[in-house]
Parts: sequence; structure tokens; C-alpha cells
Amino acid sequence: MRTPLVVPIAIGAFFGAISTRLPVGDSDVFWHLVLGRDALQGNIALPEAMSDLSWTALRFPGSSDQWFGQTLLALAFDAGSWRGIVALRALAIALLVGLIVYAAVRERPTRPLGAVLAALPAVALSRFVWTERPELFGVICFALLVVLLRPVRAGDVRAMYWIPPLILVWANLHGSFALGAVLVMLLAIDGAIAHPRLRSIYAAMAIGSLIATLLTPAHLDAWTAPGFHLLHPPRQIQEWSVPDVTTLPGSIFALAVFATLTTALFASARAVRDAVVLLPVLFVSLIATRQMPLYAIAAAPYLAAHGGDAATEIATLLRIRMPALARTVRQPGRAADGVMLAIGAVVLAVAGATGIDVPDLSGYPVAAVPLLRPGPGLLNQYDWGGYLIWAAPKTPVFVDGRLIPFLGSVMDDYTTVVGVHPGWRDVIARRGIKQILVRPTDPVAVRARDLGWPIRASSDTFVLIDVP
Amino acid sequence: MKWLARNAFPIGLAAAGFTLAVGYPTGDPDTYWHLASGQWMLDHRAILRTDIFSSTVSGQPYSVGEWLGEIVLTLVFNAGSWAGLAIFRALLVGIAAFFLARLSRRGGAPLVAALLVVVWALVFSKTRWTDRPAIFTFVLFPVVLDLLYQARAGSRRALVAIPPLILLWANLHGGYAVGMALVLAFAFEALVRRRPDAAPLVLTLAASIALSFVDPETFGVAGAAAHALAPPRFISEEAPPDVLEPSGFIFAAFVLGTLGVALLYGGGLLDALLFVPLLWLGLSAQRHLAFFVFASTPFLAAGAARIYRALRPHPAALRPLPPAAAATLAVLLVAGALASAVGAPRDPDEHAYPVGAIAALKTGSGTLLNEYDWGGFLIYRVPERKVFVDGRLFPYFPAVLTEYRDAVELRPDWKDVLAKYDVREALLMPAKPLAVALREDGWKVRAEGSNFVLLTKP
Repeated sequence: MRTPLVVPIAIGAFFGAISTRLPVGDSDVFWHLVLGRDALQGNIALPEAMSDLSWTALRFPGSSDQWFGQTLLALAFDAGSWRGIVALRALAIALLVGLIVYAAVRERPTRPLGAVLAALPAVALSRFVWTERPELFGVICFALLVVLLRPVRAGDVRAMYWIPPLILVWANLHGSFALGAVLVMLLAIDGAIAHPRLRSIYAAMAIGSLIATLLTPAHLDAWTAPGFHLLHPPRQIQEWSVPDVTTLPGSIFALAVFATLTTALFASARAVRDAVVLLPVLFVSLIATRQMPLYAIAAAPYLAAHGGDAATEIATLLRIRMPALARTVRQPGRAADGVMLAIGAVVLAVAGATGIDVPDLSGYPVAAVPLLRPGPGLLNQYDWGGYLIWAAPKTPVFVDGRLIPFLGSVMDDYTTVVGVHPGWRDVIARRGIKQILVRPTDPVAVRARDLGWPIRASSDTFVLIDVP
Repeated sequence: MKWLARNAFPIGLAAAGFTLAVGYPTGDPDTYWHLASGQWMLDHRAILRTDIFSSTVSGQPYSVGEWLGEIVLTLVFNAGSWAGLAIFRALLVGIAAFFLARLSRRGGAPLVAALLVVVWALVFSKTRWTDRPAIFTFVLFPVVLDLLYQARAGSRRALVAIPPLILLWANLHGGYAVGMALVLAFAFEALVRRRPDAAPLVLTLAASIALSFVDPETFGVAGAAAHALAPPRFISEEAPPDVLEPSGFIFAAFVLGTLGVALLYGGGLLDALLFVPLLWLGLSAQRHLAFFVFASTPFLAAGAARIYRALRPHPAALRPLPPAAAATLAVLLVAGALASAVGAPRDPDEHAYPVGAIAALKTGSGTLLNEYDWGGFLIYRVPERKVFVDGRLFPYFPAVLTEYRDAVELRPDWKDVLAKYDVREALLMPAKPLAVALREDGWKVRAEGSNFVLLTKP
């Protein structure tokens, strides 16, 4: 049965339009834009390009696994400044939400309301990756993989052909491709067992996908960042912290997990092959807060397919009447899909044209920028590195959200100085730090005031200190 | 003899648990203040209801819900010193392992499948082998769960044992709320399923609730719920589980295993009633991980058995040991485990504590600002000095804890905090920002080691 696209397009366009009202100005978007512009000029994470941005990680070969995502962002910015970024984000969010809802509706095309309910945790949790970063593109690729899962599992060869190109694009968009590649391997094994006559096609899909992961400027090194992040997540960064079910995103994630577990316990149909995807994705999601949406997205089709059955079983047990969910009498045709697509495009265009067009810089040290000395010597708050790369290009940063170039001695020295750990003054002397730009509550800011160091500028957000 | 033969597997596992647990020296910072509280109660023949150990909340009321647990631990300590505590802990671990092994076969799992699951549950539980009243919850949880499964299988005698156990639990440790939740889950399931044991289970629940109020801290459940909903994250055991650490990894394996078995074979209402709340609890804080692991053990073991049967439909039949041989083996294992008690450590492991500062602390004076994790140690080892904070947590929450953290982390008001409490000495880890700042400001070093520095105001 054909899955009507009316509902996914409508919901996707709705959330895409809403997103144009959300602030723009993620701490990482700025350095992504700079690297994206470099990529447009043909410099994909060359050492020379990196050396302009930071004075502590000179000659670092760089991580080029997001070059395509960065290029898309830079193109959007060049086309329409911040409004261009907001429009690209809105389009991406519409696509993401649309794919999530589509994967769910496809399981219950005659009961779209139930399917949408099943997709709600995933849509709600996806809100936390609605950022203007390549990560959003990676999540879209994941949602697309989830859409392709069912036909691939069913032995649809055409769907299998789509997998290696998807992985190729994904590997150049964002480091999350590694999860996709691993899932494809598992799918291939599962498919080869279920459909022995298609073994060679499944093998070709797996091998093609593996080769696709190497077709990036970083080649084999493209696996470095995802591998590192998976096994050594930088816990000091909020989005890499452990999922916390007492927070809002954590509680939505828990809801998705509990809904899956309860459905699995009560549904009459067994879903052995769903375990192949759900279990590894659940483990990955349990590792870090930023990965929680992945599980909710992967679980949405399963919940749509079996949640109603489980709910009916529970209602029967509890002897309560389940409210009957609306059933579509007649499936909308392709014409209806086309009309909805046109309406969605208009809604998105209008929302994009009237949406946010300036970044929210309230959390950044804007007033400190004119006072920064050009050249090396600034120690900056980690979260502000990206912004400073953008706003003060003549003052290279100490650290920024790229993280990997700074792991080891740079991050250690950063922590020592900002946290006023033993030897902090030695680090300042050894590194030649001349200015410190941190939050007023950071220990180094408090200590600098205690010691009477000259304060060049300060506000509720920042304090800029001259090292005597 | 029959009982021994029938329970050879749980006995064997209990012996293994005992042997593993008896070798660990005490090292938990909270053990010390629990012992000090217990000793005070034994000396004064009264329940300790107000703070007597700190300079910051002196005289203020604090939780008394663990009074019996503290007294039991102190009596054990007075009888057998640190080795006595280690042997007592090992006994409790052995009891927990015994009931865990019984639980693992509740779903009809054969020995191999049960062993596969329960060994991991036992290995995982090592993080909870502490010499604190919390260990009573660690033991009583599988005991009550096993009794409830027995009752579900038709044993009324098992139900009779539960209310007195809840009474005991409520006075030993605040974790009794989880025990009552277990009874509630079984009673609800029996009611929904209209099982014949519904009425006795409801009566058991009512009796358990009533008896839980026979406790100096009558409304402890409310406190436990509030604690679970807003855990103080800066304490490591209150942090959410990290699945890349050993205990978190095993917990994740149990979560994935449970979901996997549910996807393969489905489950029942009781499984949902147990797993969903206990999984939430486990995900909320590391200290609660064991509840889900223990509760899912029978489900997982049964699932492992079904998977094994599906993969090998005609396995070679394992011939059970003759009863006499099984009983003899059980006795031998217990004897071996008890013999291992000879190796119980005579002293606590204090390498993480500022042992080298004790002499200087005893001769010092004025308000002492100490590391949170060392408060219990100081209460016990240097009773002459009042602590600033310690692991009792609640008396200090939130005002004093906030001030403490502001000071040691060098927040803008750190000098105000030191002035407010007239801090004269600070016992800190050398890497703490406050230690660095105080040294720079001329505070004198009275004692110093690799893991501590004792500074005094000039």
C-alpha cells in the first residue's frame, strides 16, 4: 500500500515554520561557517586554514568529516546571511520531522493519528538537535536510513541500492555516519540470514557502504572523530554528558524507552528483527545526551506498528475502553500529496522570509571583541571560541568547539588556568597568555580580581582581563 | 539434606558472593559517620535526632531513618572491629546472592542460563557492597522479591514474612520505599488478573504500609521520593549511570537484554510494573542501578534459556547431581567460604583520606573547612574537631552545601563564606582552586601529603 505523504509533509512544514522563530547562534555555527567558506575556496581543513583560527593547535591536520555540511551552511549564509541559515535550518527540520512521521505513518497508513502519536517522542526529542550545525544533517541521514530499513529488511533491492549513496553523503556531512555504517553491516547480516538468495546483494550493500565511508577528504581518518567520541565522550561538554532522566530531554528519552519496552512486553506480534536496530541504537543513545534523539527516531516505526496492539492489550487487562482512533476512510492520492507539498513550500517560504534574521548573541562577549589584542595570547572560554573565530578573526583562539585539535595538553592547560589549579600561573607564563576572556564566575576571573589584575571590560556575561 | 540438595545452586552462589566480598577492606567515607552515630546512640541509649558533628548545622534536626542500621553496624564493629564489619558485609552479600540465584531460576531457566545471568548481576552488585545501612536494602530487595514470587506461586507463608521485613527495613534504611513498591506491583497485578492471591497481597500491602510508619522518621517515603526526583548530582553515586564505565556497562547490558527478550518473546503485566519504574530509578542515579538488574534477572535468565533452546533444540541433557552429592558440595562450598573469612582485612583502606593530617588537626583550633568526602572520616578519626560538611548530606542541603561549593570552587563569594563561618583551617585536596588561592594568600601549610593539604589562617 502506498503511504500518503500529506501528514508527514504537513507536520514537517509546521515544525519547519515554527523553527524560523527560534533563536539562531549556536556556539559552534560560527566556526562551521568559517570552515565552510574555506571549503568553498578549496581548502578543506588544511593545516594552514586551521592555523588561522587557533594559536594553540597549529599544524593540526584538522577534521574534515563535516566539510559538506559546513559548505551547505556557508552557501546558505552567503545567499541570505542569517536569514539564509534560518531558512536552511527550517528546511532541514521540516525534512527531519517529515521523515520521522513518514516512517511511523507507513506502518499504520490507515490510522495516521496513532502513528503520529507514536512519532511524538521522536519529534519532541529531535527539538534538541534543531541546531544550525552539520549534526542536524547527520540526524536527517539517520532518519532516512530508518525509512529505508523496512524495504531493505524485506529484501527490496532498489532500497538497498540507495544505502551506499546515503552513507557517502552522510560521511561527508557529519561524523554520525559511523553509526549508520555499523547499522548497515548489521542489516546486511540480518538480511542475508532472512533472504539467503539475496546474500550477494546484501554483501554488496555492506561493502559499498564501507567503501563510501572512505570517500571523504579524510579517508580512513573520517572514523577517528566518531570513534573517539563514542568511546571517550568529552563529558565536560553538556551535550556529551550522560543522559539524565530528571531533565526534560531525558524524560522524553525515558518515555521512548519505556514505550518500546512496554510495547514489546504486551504486543502479540514478535519483532525479532527490530532488535537488530533498536538494541545498538539504544546503547549509543545511552552514552550521551546528544545521541538520545537517535533512539526515539529508530523506535518510532516500531511503536507505530505495534503500540496500538499493546495499548489494546493493556486496556483489555485493565478493563478500560480505549478511545477509538480515527481511521482514514479513503487514502489521499498523489494529487493531495502534491497540493500539500505546495502548501508546505509556501508556508516554509513565508516563515523563512519573516523569521529570525539576526543571531542571538546575548550569551557571547560582544562588547569585549573590540578590546581584544590581535595575534596570539588570548585565553578564551571554551564555549565562546567559535564566536570569536567569527567575530574577531585577527585574534586566534585558545580553544573552541572543534575540541579534537585541543585534546591533551591544550585542554589540560585550559582547565588548569580557568579552574585555578596548581601551576596555573606557570601555564600562563609558559603559554604566553596575555589576555583572559572568561565568565565572571569562573575561578580564574574571581582570582584575577582578588589579585588586582587589570580588568579591561566586564559585564554579567564576561570579564576581559589583562595579564600583568 | 533435601533442602541443601535443592538449594545447592543458590548456596554455591552465596558462598562465592561471601568469598568475594570478605576480602575487600572498608573504604567508604560514610561508614565512619554511621559508626560514630551508632556509637553515640549506644552510649546514650537514645536516637540521635540532631547534628552533633558539624560546626555549620550543629543542633539542627536530621534524618533518623537509618538508626537501626547504624546500631547494627556499630554492634558488629564493637564485636569484631574492621574484620568483623567485612565478615558481616560478606554475610549480607552471600544472603543477597542466595536469593538472587533463586530469583534467576524463577522463570524456569536451567542452571546454565541462570548462572550466565546471575554471575553478571553479582559482579555488577560489587559497587553496592558498602559498609553502610544501604547494604540492608541491597539484601532485602532480592529477599522480598523472592518472597513475593513465592507468594505468587501459592505460598501464603511467604507473604506473612513480608510486613515484618518491611518494618525492619524501614528502620534499617530509607530504601524500604522500593520494597513497598514491589509489594504494590505484585498486589496490583494480582488484582488486575483477578488472581486468588489478590486479597492476601492487598492485606500484605496494607500491613506493610502500616508497619512502615513504626519508624522514628514516619514520613521517610516522601523524603525518598524527593531525593529520587532531584538527586544531588555532584555526589558520584547520585550521578546518572555512565554506560562506558564497568557498572554502567553491565546495567546497559541488562537493559538491552531485557528489551531484547521482550522483543523476542513478549512479557506480562508484572514485568512491566517492575521494569518501568525500576528502570527509571536506575537511569536517574547510579546508586539505584541494582534494583533493575536484580528485578530483571529472572526474566533475562528465562529468556536466555529460550534462546538457547531455540539455537540448540536437542541439547545434551545435563544429569543433575545426586542429592547427597549436591548437599555435600553445598556444605563444602559454605565451609570453604567461611574459611575465607580468615583473610578478612583487619584495617580499613584509608589511602584516599588525609591520614597524615590527623595529628595536626588534633592540635588545631577554630572552624575547619574540609572536603565533603572526608567529613565522615574526620568525624570518626578526629572527633575533637567539628566538620564543615560530610556525607550526611541532608542537614547541609541546600544552603551550606552551596556555600561549601562556592568556597572550594572559588566562586565570587568565597571570601564571604570563609568570613561568615570564621574559617581558620582548611583541609583540602591540593588541586582544589581554594587550596591554590589560600596558599597564594599566605595561609600556612600545617601538614601536607600527596592527596591533601592542611592550611591555617596566618
